[in-house]
Amino acid sequence: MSCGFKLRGRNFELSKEEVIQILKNKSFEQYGSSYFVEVEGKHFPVKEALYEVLKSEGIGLTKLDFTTQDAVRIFRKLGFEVLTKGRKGKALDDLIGVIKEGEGFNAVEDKARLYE
Amino acid sequence: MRASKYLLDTSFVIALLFEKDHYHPEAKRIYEQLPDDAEFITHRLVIGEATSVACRRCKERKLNCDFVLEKLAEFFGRINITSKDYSYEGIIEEMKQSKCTLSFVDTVLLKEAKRLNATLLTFDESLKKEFEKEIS
Repeated sequence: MSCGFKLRGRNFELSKEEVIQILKNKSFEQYGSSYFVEVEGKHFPVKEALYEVLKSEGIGLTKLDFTTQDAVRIFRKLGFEVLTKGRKGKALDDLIGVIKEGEGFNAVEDKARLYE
Repeated sequence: MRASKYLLDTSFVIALLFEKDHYHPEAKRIYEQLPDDAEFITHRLVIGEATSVACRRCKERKLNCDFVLEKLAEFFGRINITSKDYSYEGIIEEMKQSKCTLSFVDTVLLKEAKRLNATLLTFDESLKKEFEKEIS
């Protein structure tokens, strides 16, 4: 199902399926972004992701023509989850010491052994 | 002043995730003391190193490989990943100057810490020493 959007006075339509098809094999540099859209378990920075989608759809807007807020609004309207990451908060708490098997490990020695 | 950005090296990632690692209590203590707005970053190359360390532990100690790799992927999925591509000639030149004290990955990490104005979290003494030299 398609949804209608307006950006910089231009109207266009997008569907969730189209976005998935466009983004599923893409990868972007993730540093410096605060908001990410989750597409099939992968996280994409929202501005880069929307730019890629618009480009694929032949909508000639640059990244300067829309804001992060526009991208968040569009992805949410299409039914995608938008999240922030990289901040401590409690985001990693459940992973601290999550691997409980084994004993006597030494992270520094094991890293060094990679190069022996 | 360094912003609350933290660049993680392989030893820190591994120590944080593996409860039975010698450095786990220290990694946990450091993590708990960081401010709530701490931003975690690592370089793509660290994913390669950490995965290799984890896989080796799985093979040698017969750990549940699926579980271990799943948790590593989950961890990297929740932090920021930088893929800054430095010229290999430049990195090799710096390795020559440091008389190979640091690995290729560690040299990249040092440059990233500088570029991002981030604090490097590591238990590797050579890397820590070089980082401290950089910021002093």
